[in-house]
Amino acid sequence: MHFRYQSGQQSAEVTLERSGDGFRALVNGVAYAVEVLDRQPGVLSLRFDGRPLTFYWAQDGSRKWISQGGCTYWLDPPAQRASQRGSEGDGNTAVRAPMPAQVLAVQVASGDPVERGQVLLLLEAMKMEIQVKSPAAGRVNRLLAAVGQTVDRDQLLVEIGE
Amino acid sequence: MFKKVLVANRGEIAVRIIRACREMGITAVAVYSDADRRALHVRLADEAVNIGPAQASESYLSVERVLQAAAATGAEAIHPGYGFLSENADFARAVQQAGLVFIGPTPEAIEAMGDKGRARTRMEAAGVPVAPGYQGLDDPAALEAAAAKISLPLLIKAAAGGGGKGMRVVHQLSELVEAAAAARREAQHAFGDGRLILERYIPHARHIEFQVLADQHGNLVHLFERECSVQRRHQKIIEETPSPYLTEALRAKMGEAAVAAARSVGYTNAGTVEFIVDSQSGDFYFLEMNTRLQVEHPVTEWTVGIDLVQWQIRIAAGEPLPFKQDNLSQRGHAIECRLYAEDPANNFLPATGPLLTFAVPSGPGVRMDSGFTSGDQITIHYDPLIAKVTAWGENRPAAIQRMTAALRETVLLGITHNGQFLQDVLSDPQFIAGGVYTTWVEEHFNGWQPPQCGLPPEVLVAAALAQLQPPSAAADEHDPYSPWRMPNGYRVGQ
Amino acid sequence: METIQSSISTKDPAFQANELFHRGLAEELRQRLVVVRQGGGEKYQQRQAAQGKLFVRERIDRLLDPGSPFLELSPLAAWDCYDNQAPGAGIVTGIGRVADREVLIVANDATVKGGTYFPLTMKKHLRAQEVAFQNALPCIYLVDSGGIFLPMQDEVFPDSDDFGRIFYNQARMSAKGITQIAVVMGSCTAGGAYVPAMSDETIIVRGTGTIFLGGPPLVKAATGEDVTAEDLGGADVHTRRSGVADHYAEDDDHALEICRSIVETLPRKSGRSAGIWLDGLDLVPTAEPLYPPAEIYGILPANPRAAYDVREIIARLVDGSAFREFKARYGTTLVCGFAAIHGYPIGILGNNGVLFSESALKATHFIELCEQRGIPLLFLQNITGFMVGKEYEAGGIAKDGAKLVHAVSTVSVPKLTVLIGGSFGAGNYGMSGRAFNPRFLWMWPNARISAMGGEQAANVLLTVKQDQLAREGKAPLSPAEAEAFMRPTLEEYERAGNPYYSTARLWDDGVLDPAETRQVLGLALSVALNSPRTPGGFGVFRM
Repeated sequence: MHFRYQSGQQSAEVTLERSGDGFRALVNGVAYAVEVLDRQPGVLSLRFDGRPLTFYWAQDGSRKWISQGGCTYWLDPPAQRASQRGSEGDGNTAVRAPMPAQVLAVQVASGDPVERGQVLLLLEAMKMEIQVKSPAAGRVNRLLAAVGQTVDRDQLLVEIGE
Repeated sequence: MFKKVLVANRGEIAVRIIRACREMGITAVAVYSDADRRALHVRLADEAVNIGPAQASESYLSVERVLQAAAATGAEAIHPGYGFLSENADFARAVQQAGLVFIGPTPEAIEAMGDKGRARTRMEAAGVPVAPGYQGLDDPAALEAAAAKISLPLLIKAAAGGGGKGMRVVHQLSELVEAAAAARREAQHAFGDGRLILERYIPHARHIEFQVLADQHGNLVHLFERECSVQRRHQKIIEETPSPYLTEALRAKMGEAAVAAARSVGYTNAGTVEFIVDSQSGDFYFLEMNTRLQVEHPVTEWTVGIDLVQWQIRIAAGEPLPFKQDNLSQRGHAIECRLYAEDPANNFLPATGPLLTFAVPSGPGVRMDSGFTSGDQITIHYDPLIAKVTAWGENRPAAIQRMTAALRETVLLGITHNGQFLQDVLSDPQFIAGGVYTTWVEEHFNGWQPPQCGLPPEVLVAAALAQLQPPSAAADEHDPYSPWRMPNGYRVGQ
Repeated sequence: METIQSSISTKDPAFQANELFHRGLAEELRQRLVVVRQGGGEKYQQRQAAQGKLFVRERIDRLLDPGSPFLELSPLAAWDCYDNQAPGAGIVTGIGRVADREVLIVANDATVKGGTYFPLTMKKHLRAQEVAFQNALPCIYLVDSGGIFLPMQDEVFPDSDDFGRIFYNQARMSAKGITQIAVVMGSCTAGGAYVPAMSDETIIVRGTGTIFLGGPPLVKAATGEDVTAEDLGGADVHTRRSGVADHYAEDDDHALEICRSIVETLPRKSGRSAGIWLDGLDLVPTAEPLYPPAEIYGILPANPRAAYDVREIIARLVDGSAFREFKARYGTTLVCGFAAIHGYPIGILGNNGVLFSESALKATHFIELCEQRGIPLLFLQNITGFMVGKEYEAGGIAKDGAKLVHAVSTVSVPKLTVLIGGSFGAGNYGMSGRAFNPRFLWMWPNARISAMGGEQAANVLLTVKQDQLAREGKAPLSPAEAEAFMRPTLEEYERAGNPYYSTARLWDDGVLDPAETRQVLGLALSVALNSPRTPGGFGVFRM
């Protein structure tokens, strides 16, 4: 049984396997012997590698709160990974033309550091001005568009690298 | 003695007063706002009256509604607790005019102490030391002249208020005019009164206050001090008695000053005289008098061995104090920690949310005062105080140890709170040595982060096992017993 | 409700002998399951891991709600078939819980011949879809398959219940509001490309997931074009350009996360608005049976012909061993009654001997009652058949048996069937065999299924032989000769009637350890009761 948690920036994975009367737990690659001593609603007493420990826990939506020995922790399910847009797989992030257009302005130069969301180019098409923004922070590794140039949809304009 | 008392408050203090009433055989009437419909003080009271919407100005601060509730229930006296209407002289007067007893000082005493400027003048006249300063200064030239006399640094504060509002520290004369203008605006906004007081600012000052108790027959005693120097945003979070700073001689001197201060306004019932103590010189100055019960009164109860709330009621009912100053002494040491719904890692900003689990500590010498139980909500409407934990020990180290253990035992889940921070303060060497002052927390714990670095494996495993807990039947009302919800990890043939 | 008083003594040597025997059978089952759970074996698992792919069972574990059960279907499909090259037929199917919703999972095991479809893979895939269709379960396809196993394409491609049926089912289920989700975690070639293409929502994994009608070798042969699999039908192409897939996943874990988040958006119970079987049933809190299910091992006789009281089995399957029997004094060779399993009411029919006319009539009456009350049915089959003989034929046993078969065929409440012993001849029909569409059907390791018992079959053949010899004026076979004559028949029936032979061919949904039966029945009932209620057909005719 796998469980994955996140707390702020930290994440961890727990694997539980039944073993005799208890469990064998694997946390980030380290094994522990665990036995449940008592279970009440919201209270769990364990023998954890020989140490008796009592935990209070509560659930608030998907967040789990746990208290042990005066410390309070909260655990969330692992965050959904945001990037579904997909990179090119070579460490570079490709910036492509969203539609056929003419390049109105180029606002970065090759080698420039860029912020996420920074405007890289201005395109014009169908009487619309389109801002092409950097999808990630990084550096302009390649600049493949020049002012006045006509570009096709999905044409590579800029590559942002590390 | 009264047969029925109305408690015009909420939260832990309402619970505290209701308990006292119950012990004395008095019927306790609670009042509540819409937000507190199911609050603990309502559940504990003998009778409860709704006095309006969640907004305090429409409920707990409404003189009219509270008096209506008292009339409707036939209460003979009203205990205001602290905060809300407790230091409102008009309310005290209205209670009297309604033919009821206000459990507290006279309206005149409240008025006398309510205005810091006037109180300052009266204290000076009564021979109580006040910090060098001036008041009633409006034009910049006069301000600068006064400032030059007092010497820098200076403290600007509102004559009408407290709680840090309208307060400014001025280190350079050039900052003065602008700071005064800002303080005046803030005071005007907060109290409807922009008058300012200029005082010498004492760096590394300690906040030490004296509890006084006076009956209606001229008996007035002090019940020793409380050291309240552990503060954040000008509000106390840890209080203790005796103060680790006071010598016997200084204690006696300050006690006499406190009694003199109270006597000068004809004080009756319980009150607190607050002093600022210059930790370098040992000089002390009158700060203000709180004409009500204090949040931190339990530490006095622990060490002096009397029940302050019961005595408030007895005094209001006309009973004389059966003891004199000479009969009073302190035994052992007591500490209070205030558990707040706030984030110490983020400027102590208040937090709201559900108290999913609230397990209180127990054992000898431990006391918990709270207005909440598991399942309650901490809302934006009221003070974020969740609970007060107090502990008594034979001496200061023992009290600190007991308090630390009690905090470890306290479980508060579902809301961000300062429990961990309090434990860190208690274990700080400077706190243990007793060398703290009112700006110590801000200076010393700036950038504090919870020490829980990393997630301990046992906590992660407990989380996983908790997830394996059989769900409650209410999980799906349509299909309450579904074996699919049994987290047994069943696999065919395994 | 009355409870069954067991008269079993666990100290009885016969009990202990039985227990030893049946525990042995259960252990054999467990060991076989361990074997098939390895899929194509360590080497292929490692090869998959090297590509950044999770093993099929790991994928399922991570997809399911942590710690929730997984009701695997026919894990021993293709057992002893294809020279044992296709453990589990190269596909894992079953029902699990994702985001608190019961879903059906079909997951290719690429460690088994690249996840290609053998005839039995096909059958297992279609059976899973049938389960989803009947029980209104959203389908999740974890696709990682090279398509048809080409050496056997003639048995996988052309017929009605062949490859095309997968897509037919997907479209028909989607039309009924049964969600179809594909997670492309490996190849999806040729016809296989339609699994994601026919799904309501599709996720594809970067680098390993590919979808194309013709792979790079085919493209090269057809047009001379040189193209990599990724450029031809990788995640980028399909999520950016073609729109064949909807979600781009960084890896297997990410894909499963996305899949879970999709399931979270589904209605909690498909068909609930239409009314489901669960509605209207009085649920009762679950209680464990008074007698441990594991005692079944000692109750089942080691000798399959030995009689025992099926109530002793029922007492170890139902909540609190509570059983309200119906017509206890009539047609006593079939036990009928009401009980609950995991809180769900159920009507149980269990064989307690040969079926007579009265037993068939009683069972028909009982099925009518359950239909009228919307109570699901459980058939515990241990049946050598209907009674034969002049008296019984003349008494019209065929028409009484037909009444039962008729009721079993037309009853609309969910049916579950467990073969706990023999399942021979028309008894199989009357007790809701596979042809009668029970929602699920399982076999115990001691069960046997065939047109008649091996011994009866051998005896029938011997009689025919002796008659033939007599007609030809030859001497009848000596006892030794007769035994030699019968042996091949007996052996053949034992082989083909064996539960592993059956489960290999998808005649059932799995071989079940008797001690786990209560658990599985509870899960299956929950699944079946959440399907939309269909209007019932008949009233109660007193037989």
